[in-house]
Amino acid sequence: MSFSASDLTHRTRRLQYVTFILAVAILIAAFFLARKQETQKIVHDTTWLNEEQRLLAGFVESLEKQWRDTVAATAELEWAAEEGQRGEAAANTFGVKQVTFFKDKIPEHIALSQKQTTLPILKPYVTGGKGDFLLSQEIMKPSVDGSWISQSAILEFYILHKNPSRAVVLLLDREEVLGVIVEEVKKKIQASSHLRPEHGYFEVSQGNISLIFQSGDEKLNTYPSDEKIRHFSNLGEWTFRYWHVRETRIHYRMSILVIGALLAFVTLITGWWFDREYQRIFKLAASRVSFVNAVSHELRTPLTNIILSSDFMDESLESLRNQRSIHQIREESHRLARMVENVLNFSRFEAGKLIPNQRHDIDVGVLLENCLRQFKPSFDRKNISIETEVKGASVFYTDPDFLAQILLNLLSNIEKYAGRESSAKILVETTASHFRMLVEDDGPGIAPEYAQRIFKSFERIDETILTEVSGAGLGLSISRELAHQLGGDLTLEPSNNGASFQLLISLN
Amino acid sequence: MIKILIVEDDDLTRQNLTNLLEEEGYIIYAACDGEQALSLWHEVSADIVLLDIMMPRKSGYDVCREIRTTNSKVPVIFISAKSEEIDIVLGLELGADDFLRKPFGRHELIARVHAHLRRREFTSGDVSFTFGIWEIHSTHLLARNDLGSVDLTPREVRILKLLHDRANQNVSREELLNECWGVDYFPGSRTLDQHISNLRKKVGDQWILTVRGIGYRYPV
Repeated sequence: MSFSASDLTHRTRRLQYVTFILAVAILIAAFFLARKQETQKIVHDTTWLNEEQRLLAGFVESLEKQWRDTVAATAELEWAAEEGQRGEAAANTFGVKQVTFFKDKIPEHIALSQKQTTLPILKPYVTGGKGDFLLSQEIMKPSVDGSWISQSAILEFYILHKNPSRAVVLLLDREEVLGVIVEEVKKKIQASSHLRPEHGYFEVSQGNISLIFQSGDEKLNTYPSDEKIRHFSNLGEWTFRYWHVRETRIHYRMSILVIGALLAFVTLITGWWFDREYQRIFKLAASRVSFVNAVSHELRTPLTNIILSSDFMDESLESLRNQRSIHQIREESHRLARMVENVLNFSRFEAGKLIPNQRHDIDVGVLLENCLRQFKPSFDRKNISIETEVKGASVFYTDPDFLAQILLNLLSNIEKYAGRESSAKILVETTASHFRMLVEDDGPGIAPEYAQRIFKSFERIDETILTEVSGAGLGLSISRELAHQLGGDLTLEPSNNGASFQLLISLN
Repeated sequence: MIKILIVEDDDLTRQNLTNLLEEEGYIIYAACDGEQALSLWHEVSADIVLLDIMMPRKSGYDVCREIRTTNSKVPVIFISAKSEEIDIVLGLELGADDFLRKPFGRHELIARVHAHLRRREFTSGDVSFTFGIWEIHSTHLLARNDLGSVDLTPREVRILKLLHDRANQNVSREELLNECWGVDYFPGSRTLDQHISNLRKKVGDQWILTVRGIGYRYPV
């Protein structure tokens, strides 16, 4: 969490936007949920439909009768025709595809068919008594050699026999006849004087697929038809369909709209409340940080006085015991000073203000010596030996406060965790490309799983080790941040023995 | 003698700074606010100024600005508990030479003061006297020869000067204490031992001989 004022404004504004968008989304959703579209049928009088059907049915029946009579007459002509003129009459009749004349013996199955094959639908043909219409090729099996049926698609026959041994058989194509009749029906229906619907949709079809006539708004046939009249003639089925006009209306359900508006309102209020609480908490946290900041600043002056006093007394004290006490005062003051600096740097970091103050050429050797001086008494007490090595140029252009704070925190880690009798080494190396400071010890080290955690604020590994050790868990996280600000990084280097921290600053 | 003007409103800090720097051999003028600081500045014109920032009546920034109108070369070191970037930048823009952040110790304080005194320009009249193989530059607190140079404190310069003036003669401990620390000042005998020991490390054992039961001698 960061505590700068601009950050607060930014976060608050984001929260406001989110709340507002949520409220608008709820309103839009409620609007769509409340919207209802209804289609209503507007019913008109359909008596004309029955009239139309009756007219056309009658017309179809009369056409079919005409054709039936013509076929019968043709059969009679063929019966009476001389040998050489057979087929002439059939050629002039619609739908007659082939004529076969049996003069000596009628095949058995044709003879049988007289008794068995009349279907109800063919009754009108049979009643004439002069011949038979039969439906199926199955029944009219061809002769054994297949010679008398030359067109396999023909579905119907007309047979005329006047004595048991002679017959005329006409092969009929009902599709061809139906085609002619449909054309006639179309003309008839176009010319019909019956009232057609001004609205709605009307269609006439023959069989299942063949659409003969349509009028009105075609889109209506996406609905199931409202009126349907079917007529069966000998040649097939005729269907009349009618759709009433549809009207679409949109209306809104008030209850849903009200609930949506209420929800949106509650969302806005909740957002506003959260925003206010957020600001309050945020300001509280910010004031705490600034309080800590102010206190830390105030601590600096008394710390200076304690350190300077102990430095001054050190010179003049003769007694070893008194000198030891003074060393302790100085040591603890430096420790306190490090903590104050870490806290201040942390609060600067939180405020986004952790930036190097002043960079200039510093002597790294001198800086090293100054930092080590603070730890000399405690290292001596714990028998921690420390070795330093400076390779390359010892002058380095940087912020001395930042660099010193990093080193002090690393030395403090050695003091706290490396343990008695341990030894440590500081290697500083400056080349044309980088500045490197390696601080290693041969203490218990840091397990790899903690390698990243130790750089997090307020994070301290394994409390069992650390119960006797003081610290807020700020040192390493702040040091790493300081390293970043100096243009480098502070890392825990893999090491078989003890902890090894590396500060690497690229100079390019 | 090198004069230091200390301006600090915190009584204890002012006293501590005075004590430490006096012990090093500097002449100290101390002021507790900006106005007093400026009147002292006009009176004594010090060699270096240690200046607190937050003070009653006149801030350290104002004092620095006024000092710079009369003297552009005197080193001014700001001392403050504030260390935010803006403070430092403002201080340096006003002409301060350095910024000493609280808390600091004796070592850091003296190192900074010495560093700024040494940075002053050398002039031909700066060579004060010769001691053994060294040229002692009293105003720059340096001992130099062809091989290099070492830092000295004003107190050390005074000790060397006394031994030099009395070359080949025995100088008693009392004389050294009275001459180099002053009759009103009572450092322990250990203090003198420590100074002599430090000096021997810097200029070489052979130039400061111990005369048992009496004191020390500079053999030429």
